[in-house]
Amino acid sequence: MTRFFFLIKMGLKNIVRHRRTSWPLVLSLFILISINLGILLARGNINLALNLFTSHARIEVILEKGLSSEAVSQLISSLKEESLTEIRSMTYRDETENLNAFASQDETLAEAVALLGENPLPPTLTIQCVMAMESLPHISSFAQNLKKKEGVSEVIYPGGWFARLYQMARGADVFFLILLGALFLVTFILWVSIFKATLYPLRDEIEIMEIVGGTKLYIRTPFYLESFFYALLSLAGALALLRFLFDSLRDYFPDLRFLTTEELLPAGVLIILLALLGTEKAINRFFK
Amino acid sequence: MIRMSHLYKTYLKTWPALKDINVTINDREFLFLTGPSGAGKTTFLKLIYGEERPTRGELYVLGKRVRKMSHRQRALLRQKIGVVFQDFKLILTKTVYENMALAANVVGLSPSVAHKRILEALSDLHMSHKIKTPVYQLSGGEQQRTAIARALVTSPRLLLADEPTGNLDPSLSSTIMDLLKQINAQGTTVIMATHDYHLVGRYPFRTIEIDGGRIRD
Repeated sequence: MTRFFFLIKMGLKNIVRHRRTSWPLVLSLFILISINLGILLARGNINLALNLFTSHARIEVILEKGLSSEAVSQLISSLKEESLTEIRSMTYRDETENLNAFASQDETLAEAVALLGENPLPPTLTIQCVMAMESLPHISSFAQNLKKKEGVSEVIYPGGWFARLYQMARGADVFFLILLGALFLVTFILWVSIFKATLYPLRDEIEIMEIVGGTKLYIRTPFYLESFFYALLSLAGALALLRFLFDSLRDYFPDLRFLTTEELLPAGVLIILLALLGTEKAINRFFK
Repeated sequence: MIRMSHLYKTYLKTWPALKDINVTINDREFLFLTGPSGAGKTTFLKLIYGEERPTRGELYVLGKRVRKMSHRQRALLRQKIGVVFQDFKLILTKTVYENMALAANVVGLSPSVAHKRILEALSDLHMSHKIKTPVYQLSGGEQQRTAIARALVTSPRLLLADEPTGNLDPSLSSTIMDLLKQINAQGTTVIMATHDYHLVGRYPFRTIEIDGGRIRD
């Protein structure tokens, strides 16, 4: 235990000793972590927007004119029997309701509707559903089946459009992941290079610690502690910056959400691991 | 204590530093290692404390086979060996006490035991008054005595001294030699590399002469 406290003391002393040379390390890490977390934040919000958007998708079923209420009830019952979990609600509107809804959009339309001798609009059935990517095939086959149902004249289903949207989102996701990976790699290389430069004046000290019988772990521990501190400092700085930018943006986009614990925790652990591994690689250069 | 059998050390695959060394060094022995500069004395010592690995042959130090030791095993071996260098190898920015405390901590001595041993070692070497002095403020002789004190603080079974008097004037050299003799008398095996034949001639200890990487008969 006393050895451990001794090493902690050495680590703290290193932080004080390197306070003038460590700032490029902390600054570069701060910038890279800010970009990395910014990408994570953007990715999370794009997915959130997509989910919100797709959860309000709907299928418009245009029914045949003059369809009896029994036939409509039968149709709705048969659809309910299919028990598709993605369906949130079904709303039936008869010809009159549709005409009224059309007329209520503005005064000109209301005047035009008043001139009509006969209601030209058909009854409709609006099916609200959640079009998550994984449920698109079910909904697509459901829409195809709808077309074959008795009393259905047309089905307006935006499945193709959603599929394209999902394809784009998936492409963006892959791009973000590659970018994140590349940035983490850059962070690692930068960390190793700068830490190596920081350690260079201490090479004699490392050699002496080896001569008196210090194991690799013993010699590395104070430097691990030092890099852990720098990583935490950079991470805290990056989070503070992101929070500030996020709060400023939320005035304009109130639905934006900050990084969740599930996103932040692995990112934080990864950054600290990266710093520790980078430190290990940098110190190995000085072992004999 | 140490056994070398048909030991070879070659640098860069082509430059032989030691060739066919066969030596046994006994417990509590004081041994001089002599020879001209570049003869292979330092390599001989480096092999013993594990900084270099033998290219061929067998080497046993304190009963352990050195050749295939891991970094950790070598570190543990070094904790039982004290090493004194011509250039002292002290951390200049740290005080005498801190330099010694580092060595004591590496071998796992408790702070109270370490403190006691540091005071004893410094007292034996007449360095107690410099305990809080940063090493860069010490003279060459004082730095060498600090290096010896650091080597002794862990109570090593073996002390290696590589040209410990090389940078010192004759009177300081005698003082250092007396110290090493005293350490040996207390039971520590001492191996001292030097090219100072006059110094070697003044003491009745076994001498091994190395020349061109071979032991001269």
